[in-house]
Amino acid sequence: MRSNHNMQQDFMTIAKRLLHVDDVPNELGLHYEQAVHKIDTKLSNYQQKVWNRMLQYPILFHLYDSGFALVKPDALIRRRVFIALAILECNPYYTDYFLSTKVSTWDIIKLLVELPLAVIYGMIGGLLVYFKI
Amino acid sequence: MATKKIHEYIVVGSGCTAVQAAQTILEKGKKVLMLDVGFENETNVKIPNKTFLDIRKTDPKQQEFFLGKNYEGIPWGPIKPGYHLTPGRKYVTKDTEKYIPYTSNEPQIFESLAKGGLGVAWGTGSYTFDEDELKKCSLDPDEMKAAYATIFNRIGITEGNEPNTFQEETPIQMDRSMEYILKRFSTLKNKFHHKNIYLRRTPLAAITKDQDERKGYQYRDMDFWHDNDLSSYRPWITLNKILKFPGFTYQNNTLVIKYTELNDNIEVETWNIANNTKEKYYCKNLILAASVFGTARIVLRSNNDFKQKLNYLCNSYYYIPCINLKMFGKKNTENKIGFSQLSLYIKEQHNIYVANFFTYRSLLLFKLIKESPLNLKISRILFKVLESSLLIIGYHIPKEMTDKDYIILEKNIDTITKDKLHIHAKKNNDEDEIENRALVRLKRALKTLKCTPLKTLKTPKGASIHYAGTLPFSQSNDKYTTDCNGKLSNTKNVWIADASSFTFLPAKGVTLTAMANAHRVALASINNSK
Repeated sequence: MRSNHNMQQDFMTIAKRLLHVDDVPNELGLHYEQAVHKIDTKLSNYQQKVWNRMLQYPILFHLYDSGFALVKPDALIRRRVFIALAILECNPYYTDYFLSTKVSTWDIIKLLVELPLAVIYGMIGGLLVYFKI
Repeated sequence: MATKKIHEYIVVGSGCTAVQAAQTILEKGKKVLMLDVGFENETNVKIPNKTFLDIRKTDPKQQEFFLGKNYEGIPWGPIKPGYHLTPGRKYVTKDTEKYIPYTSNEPQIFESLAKGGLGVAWGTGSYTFDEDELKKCSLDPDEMKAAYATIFNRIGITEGNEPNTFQEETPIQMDRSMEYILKRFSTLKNKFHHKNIYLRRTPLAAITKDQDERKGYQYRDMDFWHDNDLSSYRPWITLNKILKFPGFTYQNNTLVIKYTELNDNIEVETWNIANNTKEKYYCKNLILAASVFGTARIVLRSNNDFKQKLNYLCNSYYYIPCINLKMFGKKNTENKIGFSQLSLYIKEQHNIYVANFFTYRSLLLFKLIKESPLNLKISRILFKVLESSLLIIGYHIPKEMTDKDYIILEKNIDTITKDKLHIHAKKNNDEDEIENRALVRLKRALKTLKCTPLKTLKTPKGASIHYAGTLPFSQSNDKYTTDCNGKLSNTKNVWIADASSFTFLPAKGVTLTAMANAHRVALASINNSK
């Protein structure tokens, strides 16, 4: 089990991976810690290992996240990332990351590049999750 | 020895039908005792009277009401009844597992012990049934027309019903996405009408102009979060109003267990949930409006019957997320509404299928992202781009009575009432085929309207939250039927005021018709006691 301090650090890392943001207010890290405790997402040994790897390496974060979304969408690890996403969305600092805006051509090009990448990540991550690697 | 107090009327429940029946009886000068568990919202979180966008952009405390103090607003697992409930409305299902438990082989039903019942979380869709639908429900169209008019006046219904013969509020303004759809439909109206497909504004139980303490609709897009303006109708609005009648008493913390008809009155046995004791009340007339399964429990228990199977009706319900191509890349109207704005009626032989159109925003993006098969990072970007063009279509399928779906009360010593309702549903291949055909027609219509369906999600049986038929109208005199006025057969003064008596469940929402029927049943009970 990670310490509370680690859990707040986890949140900062997830925020960085999901939104590319630094300097996330500490208060949100506290909310994350409380939410994880209240919702009780205790990880198994295997899950904890995966979780640690995800937080350590950005590429593994996205690979596993993609794999769980495809193979095991209700997995606790995905839930942990999801809790962080929900907390980020419900904060005025990050509103613009979630509210729709007029879509520019650049947005569409970015999406067209990222979508196939996400599918490839899903396939590789799916294998990692399926074979519990 | 104290003499027992005999009430003129006892009404069980405080939902949409119960409060309408009570109001009718009180307006006729009679006295009413309302027995109800009546849980209330205890979160004590005050949501500001601002628009969704204002809150999102400026309120540092928004997490308290969007996610809930205990983060109960962060959902997980498959979509099931009640999934859409926001933290401030979670109390609607409080303690149902404790006081009104059920088992099932598949269905997942949604029940409430809250003050206002299921009406607290109602989507406010308020459809009148047409003549054929009323007849199939075993309701008299002429009587119902008058009853509809009464309910329209009491609660306020926005324009959208057909025929447009009632005093309606002006329609609620649609957002940009819906305007495109309506415009496209108007251009191809003849083609659609030729195929028996019609598009109308969704009639909603809401007012558009200020009325007493109720404010006209404010377009804050906070409909799923609070009722600060009282513009959308909730049963407790009526309850607060009838509390001013001198002949009305509201008794909460009271779970009705069963009744016994005595020589000249009815004994009602209850469980006081505050002090865990049995209590008894007495009345001349008993009106049961505890919702379809709640009322069935009371009636079966009163007959001490643990063998009888009662059939029930429940609409099948599909969610179909779509992209409105005309809206792609554009911004939607800022101040909009969360409820259904348009309803597509698809006529097939003798039935009408109804698809309700919602735009998505105020339930927050993370709930949608969860359903995506892609990673959360890319899903956020994808849904942010798609949000303004995203539509959620809720598709209801009409339901005829069959023997395949039934409930039975089973003994269970572990529960407070010493029983548990078992709800059974059996797969029906004929119905599946009809539903698939209906889905094909809907998807074709959506594509013609330039709305591209992304996925079809069949919700579990029970998720429509439209139930009926456990104690059907009948001339048979069977003890589990009601006569045409809503009186339970083989009883002197027990009346069924919710949708339990309906013999058919159209695809349109049943609430308005159930309220109108409750008014009609209340009038019949008064006439009967004269």
